[in-house]
Amino acid sequence: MRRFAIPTLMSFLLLAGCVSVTGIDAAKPVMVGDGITVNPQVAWASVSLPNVSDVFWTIDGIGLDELHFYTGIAPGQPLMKIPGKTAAEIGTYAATMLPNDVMDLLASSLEKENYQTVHSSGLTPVTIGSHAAFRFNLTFSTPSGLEMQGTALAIQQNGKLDVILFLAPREYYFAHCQPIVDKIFASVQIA
Amino acid sequence: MAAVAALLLAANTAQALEDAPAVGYRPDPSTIEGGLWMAGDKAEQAVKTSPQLVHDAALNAYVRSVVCKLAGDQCASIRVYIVEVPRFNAYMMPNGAMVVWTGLLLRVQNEAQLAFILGHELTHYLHRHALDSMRRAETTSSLLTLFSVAAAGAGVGIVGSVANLAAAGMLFAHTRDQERDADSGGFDLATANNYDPRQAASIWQFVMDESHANPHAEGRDFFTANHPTDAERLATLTQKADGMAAQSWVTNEAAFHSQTKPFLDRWLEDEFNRGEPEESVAMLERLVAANPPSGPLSYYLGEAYRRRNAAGDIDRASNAYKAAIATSDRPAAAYRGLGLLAMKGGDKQSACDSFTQYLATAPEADDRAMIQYYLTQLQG
Amino acid sequence: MRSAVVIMQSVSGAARALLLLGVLALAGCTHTAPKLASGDIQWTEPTKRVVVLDPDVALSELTIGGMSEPRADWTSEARTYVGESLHRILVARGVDVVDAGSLDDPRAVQLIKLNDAVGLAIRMHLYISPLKLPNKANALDWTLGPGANMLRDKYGADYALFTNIRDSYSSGSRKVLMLLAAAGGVAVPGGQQYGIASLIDLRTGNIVWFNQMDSATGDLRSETPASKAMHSLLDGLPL
Repeated sequence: MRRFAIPTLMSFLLLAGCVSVTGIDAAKPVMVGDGITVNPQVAWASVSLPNVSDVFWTIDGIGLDELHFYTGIAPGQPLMKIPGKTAAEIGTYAATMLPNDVMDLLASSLEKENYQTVHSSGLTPVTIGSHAAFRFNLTFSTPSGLEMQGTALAIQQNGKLDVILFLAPREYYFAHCQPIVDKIFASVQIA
Repeated sequence: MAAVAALLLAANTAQALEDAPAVGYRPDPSTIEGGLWMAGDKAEQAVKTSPQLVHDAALNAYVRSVVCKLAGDQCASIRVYIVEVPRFNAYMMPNGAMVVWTGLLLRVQNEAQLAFILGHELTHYLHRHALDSMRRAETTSSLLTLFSVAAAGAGVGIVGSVANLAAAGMLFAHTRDQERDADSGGFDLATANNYDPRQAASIWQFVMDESHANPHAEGRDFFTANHPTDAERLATLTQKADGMAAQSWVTNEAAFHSQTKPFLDRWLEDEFNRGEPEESVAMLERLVAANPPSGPLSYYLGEAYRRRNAAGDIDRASNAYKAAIATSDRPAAAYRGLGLLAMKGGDKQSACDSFTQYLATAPEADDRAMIQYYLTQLQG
Repeated sequence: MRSAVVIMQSVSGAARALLLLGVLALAGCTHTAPKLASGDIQWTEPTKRVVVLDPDVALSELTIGGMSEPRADWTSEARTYVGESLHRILVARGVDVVDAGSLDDPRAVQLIKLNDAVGLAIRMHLYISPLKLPNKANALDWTLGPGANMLRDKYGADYALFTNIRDSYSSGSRKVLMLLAAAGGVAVPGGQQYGIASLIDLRTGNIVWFNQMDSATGDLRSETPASKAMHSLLDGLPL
């Protein structure tokens, strides 16, 4: 059966053209938005998907360890953009939200992204300099059934919300990266 | 048990094109039926290894006991799996594996309603509907999709991913006539076991009500997608119930609630995390109205209002939390709910009182550090 | 947070293959691009045992409208020939082959799903230039973690082989269209065969060899082409 080639190069270039990857140096503090800087601890790659306004860091690649920065989320905005869903459908931030509400919003936002059976726990206040912040943990699975874990640091300042969220598979990757992530959270400085 | 089978066959010979598979039956792998069972086996394997499979022994034993009552001798042919998905659905594979979503266990009000649904699914199996469809090539493309989904292995997320089920085009889809037959067969199996016939129609009433509560069409019920219209079902089942002679029917509401109560926290977290506040409110309003006063249900109704946060919801939530607190099985979290409302509303004293009560009642609460922090803020 | 992996998982297998292939397949050519991690193959036992996970095979039919419809019967045939070829190739290299069979253990299932996720990351970040990770030094440097030990304990094998194969064949009507188009000098996409394979050291969980293959020809529903395809798939296998 004689078949012709599919111009696959075209298809993936289209995808690749929308994605850009740059290096994050271990030693230099990085400004991640809304006046927040972090110390990366180790070398990361920063991946940007412009069509969904998402920038995240990764060590081993998409789906294996992802450190997301949702900064300067204003009231009426969702935490992230999801193609095909309006802000109202995803759920939006309100300045009156308490940490409990922020945790609930992140959990339901993850489900809007098609992650499954999201459960949150361990809501705890932390202090960053003079700022009140909070941490919480997540469990969920991908649509194909890979079990995942997450941990988040969130700050509400000047009427806006900042969330740093780390996601990784429960098998090996989450526990392996957690010490690094904890150090990154501890390194947060707010201008 | 034999009487049930006889009743079933007698009542449904017009629709039953095949005898039920004998217990322990395995079709020849080279036949069409063999292929169907192979697909079912692969799909069952995916369910067995899914992170969403509910392992709790007691809950599984309970649901299985209902299936076995209905199935009689056929009980040995049926495996029952409970999967944690916050939607109303149950389905049967051609090889005797039955899957029930936790969203269904949350929504039905009693054991009788559960029995009508499980009886419906059992009828698909007992009447060999999948094979019938295959032979008549009425649903070839959806069955081929079924094959591929099963054949492609567990990685497709067929188990509980709502989006993937939609993509797979209604796994194990049946024709409308088969659905009518399953309604009828399920009705007969359940009433033969003394389950209250009026409960059959009640299910479709609430399914209709809940789906109307959703402003986006997206919230479609997979259980009903290919089924006769809810209105038709309601009419048919009401008529059948009216035709039954009065006797001491059972609903086993208390048993059902005591079996499912330990899971309400988790299943309602799943429900709320869907991010469909209108549907959650509709469901909980119905459950509260349909059941005797329940601390947990009133608390969750309060949560549903608090999260929806539409005009007037603060008062509604507050009333629901207070109703929860007035019962003897009040969850500690009802105090937290009142505290959160008060804190946002600027009523510091009330918030302090509520949070203090919460921590006193639930000193091991998962979020105690945060609530303690709120108290510090309020008192500062 | 529209993670690419979640996007990938929600599109069909054939579309994913299109999105992820890093090489242009020319008519009649098979391309392979094996990658090897640093370090040697080492065995703990004189019997060089490798556990072969059930090949993840899916064949589909391309309709005239370009839709891809899965075919269970084709898949079944292909899976038989693929499995047999892999066996023959490994045995010819002096390897003691054991089949993993169907897996019930939830942790083993998670390891397989993790392997799928790692495979996706490797295909994106090692094979597609614009997506290479600066911190990965352009090398095969991925792992499933020491949890892979459980497979070693279960099968007594030092290494595991995972394979994943997708192929699609044109339906009759589409072939006619293609022939007509060819006569008129226009290219119409036909089917595409695509496979990935990885060898895991079960002591560390490290991926020691990975290959991505694609081909425009070869019917996996027959023994000889399936065997040829498996030889390509195992190109560079360090066993």
